[in-house]
Amino acid sequence: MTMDDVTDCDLDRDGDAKDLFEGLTLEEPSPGADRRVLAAAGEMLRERRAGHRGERTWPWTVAVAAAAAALAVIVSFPGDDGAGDGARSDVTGGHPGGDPIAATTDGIGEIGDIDVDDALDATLGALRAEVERIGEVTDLLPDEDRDDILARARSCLARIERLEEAIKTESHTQSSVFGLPETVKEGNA
Amino acid sequence: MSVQQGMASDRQLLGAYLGGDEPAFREFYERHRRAVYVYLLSLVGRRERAEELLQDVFLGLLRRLEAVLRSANGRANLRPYLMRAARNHAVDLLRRERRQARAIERLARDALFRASRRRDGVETTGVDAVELGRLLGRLPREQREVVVLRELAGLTFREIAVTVGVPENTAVSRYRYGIGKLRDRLGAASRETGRCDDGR
Repeated sequence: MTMDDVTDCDLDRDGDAKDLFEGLTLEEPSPGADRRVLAAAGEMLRERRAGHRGERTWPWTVAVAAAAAALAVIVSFPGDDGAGDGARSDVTGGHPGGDPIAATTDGIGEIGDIDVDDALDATLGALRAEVERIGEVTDLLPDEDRDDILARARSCLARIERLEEAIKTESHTQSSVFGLPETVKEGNA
Repeated sequence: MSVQQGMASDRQLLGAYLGGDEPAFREFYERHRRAVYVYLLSLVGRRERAEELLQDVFLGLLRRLEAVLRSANGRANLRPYLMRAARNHAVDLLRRERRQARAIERLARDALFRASRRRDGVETTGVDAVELGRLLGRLPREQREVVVLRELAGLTFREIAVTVGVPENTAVSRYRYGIGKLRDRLGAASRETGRCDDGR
């Protein structure tokens, strides 16, 4: 017996509220509000058709996987202690119950010892977009999960920003080896 | 792609919309617009604000449609999602306005129901729609919200619990307190006006 069954029994015993609300006609939005929503839906559909929305029509899960896959290619996990593999496996979607944000931040946290090329900058941009998009869909989650995910997304974005700054800084001093400033390493510890 | 209107699930309609079937979204919107609007109206109190938020809810859905369909865990009915999004938008608005505590406790100003059944000549229970709306607006916000979601939006208690962010038994408790108060106040109002004819 479900909770609804129990409560419906209770309510039947006390008399539910159907008699109170039966036959009522709900208020409704104005025709103008309806028109604006439907017009926007039509316009968005046309944009989709025309391809003007570009990456925004790209499913974010695919984008996350692609960005993470790109990151996995250019990121070598020194020592191969297993943690890096696990992170990559989760990020690339091998496990639906995985934690892409944690895996991504773990991966970013180990970036300090790797070689970097121009693709890293683009990949970080893609990751930033996907983390932001994850933040946008968190209203699907219960409050406690939402707060947690948003906090981690913000943390991830902060790390990406620091990495982007580090890339800019390092690009002036090094061409092939990427060494993070000590403050960044400490922040990722 | 097209779907048979009236038979398709929410997911099917939105999937059809993504495939280029614009009327499918109209069907989806028609299905939920009143429930979402009345819930918003019960939260923010004013028509114009509820209409703005209504647009935010549906346009937000459209902007993240693929993600929503993937994240809905196969649920055919997306009304719980819409209600949760509506609540988030309403709370965000009230926070932005820095009047949340006052505003959310204020009575709903604009009516939730259309013309009175009494005036329409289709009276079935002796309860006047305007009076019921007024009394509903006087319930504590937590109870009013659950009653609206249950009776006007048709959500289950489990869905209400997720929407509001409380345990399911809390949602049930709030509902029962709210309905009890409505009955008490309706009975008192009817006695005051000599309209009590069924002992409620």
